[in-house]
Amino acid sequence: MTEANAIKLFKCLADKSRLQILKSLMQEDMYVERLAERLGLTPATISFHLKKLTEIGAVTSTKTQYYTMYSLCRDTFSMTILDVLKEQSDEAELQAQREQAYRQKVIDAFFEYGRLKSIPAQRKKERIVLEEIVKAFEPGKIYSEREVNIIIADYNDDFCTIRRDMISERLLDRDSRGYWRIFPDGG
Amino acid sequence: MNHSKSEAFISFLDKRTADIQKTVVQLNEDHRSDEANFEKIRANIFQIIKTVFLSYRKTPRSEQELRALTDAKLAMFEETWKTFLSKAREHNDEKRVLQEEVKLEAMKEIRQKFDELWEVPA
Repeated sequence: MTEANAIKLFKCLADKSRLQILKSLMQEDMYVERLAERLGLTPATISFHLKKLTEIGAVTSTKTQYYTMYSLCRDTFSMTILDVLKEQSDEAELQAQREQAYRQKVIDAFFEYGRLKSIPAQRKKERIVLEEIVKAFEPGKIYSEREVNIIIADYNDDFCTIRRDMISERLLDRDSRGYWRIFPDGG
Repeated sequence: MNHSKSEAFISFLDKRTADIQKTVVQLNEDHRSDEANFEKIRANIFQIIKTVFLSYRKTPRSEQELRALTDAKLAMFEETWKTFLSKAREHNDEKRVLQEEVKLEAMKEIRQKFDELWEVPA
């Protein structure tokens, strides 16, 4: 387990309700409503905690005919704290994780359910947002301007600004044939 | 708007805010900080409605007009948050679902008190 994952795990477990959920799942697999009844919390609150527990690999879920059943992920808990402490900290890896966390923070702030809420004013943030949108373009494919606009419009109505900014940020290139995605390594 | 009804409404909003703030402290002491944060959202709703109501009351208006204005504002919040809730459910956004449910629960309480004070037929 990486240091960052260990921190996420410990942070997530430092919550009484989540520990109660795990204790219940120790006994048997359960669905949201059953856990809610057992712990005196609302189903929405239980779902919220289960999502967090799923994200750190503490629980897994299986869809059955009527319910989604949640189970304790025993592998995660079979590891000892000593195993975590023995892990070496790789500074480069930590730096990459910090950068990834920053990117995710920007994406979460500017996107809502896949739509770009607004174009960031800061260039660094706008670059991240544009890099996210450009993923919708297939590598090697040439697009007409109309196709580019349609793809970008799925994210934000201001497709002209975004298209132009993608060109100036060297994420897209164009000539008389149309537009195509380019990569930082020049590919 | 009837002064005593207004005062009763404001005092209800203050009391609920204070009660919820106590719950926030208890939840934090009980190491349930995420749930405490959701309760903070609940308390905020009572405070927001109080701010809106006080701003309406500041301008001299007939009782009927003031009641209608507040009623419309409550309905607007309810409608908006219902839309947010269904959008969050559609996208399986558990955190947002919980936030919107908490806001709507608070609004339901406020609506009940408002209707009770101004005797709106059920």
